[in-house]
Amino acid sequence: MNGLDAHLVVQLAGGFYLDVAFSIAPGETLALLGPNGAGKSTAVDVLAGLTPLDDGHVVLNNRVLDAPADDVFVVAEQRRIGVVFQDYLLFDHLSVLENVMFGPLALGERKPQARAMANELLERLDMQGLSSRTPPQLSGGQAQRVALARALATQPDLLLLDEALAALDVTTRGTLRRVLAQHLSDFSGPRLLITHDPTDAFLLADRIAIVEDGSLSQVGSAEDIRRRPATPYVAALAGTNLLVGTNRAGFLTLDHHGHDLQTADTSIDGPVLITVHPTAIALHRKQPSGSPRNTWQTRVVSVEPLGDTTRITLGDPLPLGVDITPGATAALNLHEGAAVWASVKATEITVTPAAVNVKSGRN
Amino acid sequence: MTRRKIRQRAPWPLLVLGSLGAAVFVLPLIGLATRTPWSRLRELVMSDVVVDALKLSLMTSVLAAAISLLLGVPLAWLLARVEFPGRRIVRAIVTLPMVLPPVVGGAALLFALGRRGVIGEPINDATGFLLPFSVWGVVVANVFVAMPFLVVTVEGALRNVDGRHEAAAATLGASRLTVFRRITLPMIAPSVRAGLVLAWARALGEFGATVTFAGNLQGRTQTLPLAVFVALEQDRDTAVAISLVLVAVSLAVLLLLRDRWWSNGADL
Repeated sequence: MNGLDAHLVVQLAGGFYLDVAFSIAPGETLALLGPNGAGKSTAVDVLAGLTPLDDGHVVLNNRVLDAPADDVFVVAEQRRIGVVFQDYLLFDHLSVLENVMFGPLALGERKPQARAMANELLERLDMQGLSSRTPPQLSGGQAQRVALARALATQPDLLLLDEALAALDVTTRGTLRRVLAQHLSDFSGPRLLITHDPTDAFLLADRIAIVEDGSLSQVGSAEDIRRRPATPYVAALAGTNLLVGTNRAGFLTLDHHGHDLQTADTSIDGPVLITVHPTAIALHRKQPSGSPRNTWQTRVVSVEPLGDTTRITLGDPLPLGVDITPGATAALNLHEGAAVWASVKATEITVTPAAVNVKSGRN
Repeated sequence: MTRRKIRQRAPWPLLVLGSLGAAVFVLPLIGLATRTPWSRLRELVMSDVVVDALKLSLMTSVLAAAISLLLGVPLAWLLARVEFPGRRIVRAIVTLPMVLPPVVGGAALLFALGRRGVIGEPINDATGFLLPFSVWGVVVANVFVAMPFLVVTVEGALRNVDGRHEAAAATLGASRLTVFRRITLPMIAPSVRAGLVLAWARALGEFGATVTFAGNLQGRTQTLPLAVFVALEQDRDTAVAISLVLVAVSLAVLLLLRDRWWSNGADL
């Protein structure tokens, strides 16, 4: 099959094993999402060929890259896997242009061709003005783009992004996430995004695989994961409700749902991502008083006890997750199919600028 | 506005002991300067013996430093990066000349490469080439005592290099040799320069191994340190003049290189 087929088994420090299996189709982005120490960076190293597998296999476009059982191991320099490392690992003694030219030259490209390729990539990433700078003179966002250009310049069969946004400060992360989304969709091979940040995973990936303690606890679309979290960790990760819409002076029109909301945040106009924390939504048996826009009638789709909270999933018009105490669940007599009123304060609805081509249809 | 400088007095024990330490090096130079026949200096320095020795010393020490660089950096890489049986022993043997009396080293070289030596004899039989008592003998003796300084410096630097950059280069398709050439070497460049200077300095001052292995023939194997030793027996003024030349050359090189080459990032 084309794309990546991986079953990674590696002994980790501390005596436990990373044992995860997944596949990524060409043109698909899979996010490997998990807490730090779950074995995510080991996954990067074994895929890139920097650490051998103990068991399992890595097959990329029908080419076996690592298979201990068959004694196959392809070294990193022959894997054709482009990696954007967490701290970018740019070469400080080379200029931006030389950094991007490094891969093509190492693969035997002639200098003029390598320079042309590098220039074209830098232009595509809006970096053409910076090609003679050295990495220490770049901002975090610029360094990230150079790292991406350097990885893409080798025309890899797989693009691997290791915590590509983690090193950036919060204010630039939103913008760079949008830029990254664009460039990810320009790359036609399989893409693997390694992250501990659910927002990155939810916004950039087509599917999400969640790693906990070295194994996958759930794989699915953002919606699968939010609707049916398999473990408390996933529930907490997926806890935040994410909607896509447009903000006009605090009036939110939602892209996929026939209900509008109101936010206290009027600073951003235009396409936005809307987050509503599950604990910020209140449920009532009778119509509550308050802003009618942020109050609506709906039905309970599911009731799932998750430790000391209960996750209530609401149906149309807004399929949101709500976390309430088991006591409140009992008091409100909530069960599948029950009719309820939901309300949320305008101050509890936060908006961030949306990526231009956020994958739609999630909600 | 100029920034105010805050002057802090050094604690007196450090000041006293540190000054004594500096005196160890300064006093001999003063001694040398007081005994220098300044009026005859030009004539003494321009004498055949001194000029021959100076030329030979510069040529052989630079050559020895270059050979140490060519062979020592790959050796340091092997010691730092490749696990092979007996690596610890090889490392100990490589650094042995730093501890061994150079005369012993010279004798060992003679047993290996001399006319009756294990390797010297077959080479001499086949080609008629004889290493000892030739200019090349001086260079070999210099390499023997000088290269360990470069190897130790460079190996230490290689161990401290963060391997992640090299890994990144590998994912970009670079072979191990390309990674070494284009990533590793530039990263350890300050230490390579420092090692080179140390090796050159050691070669310039080399005496014991040279005199044992290459002899003391004026114009062929008599380097400056050897010339000083001979002159001390016969003509004190010449000895002082040669010493002054050595001091001047060494000091000039160290002062010149220190700022530009190994003041920052060097790992000594």
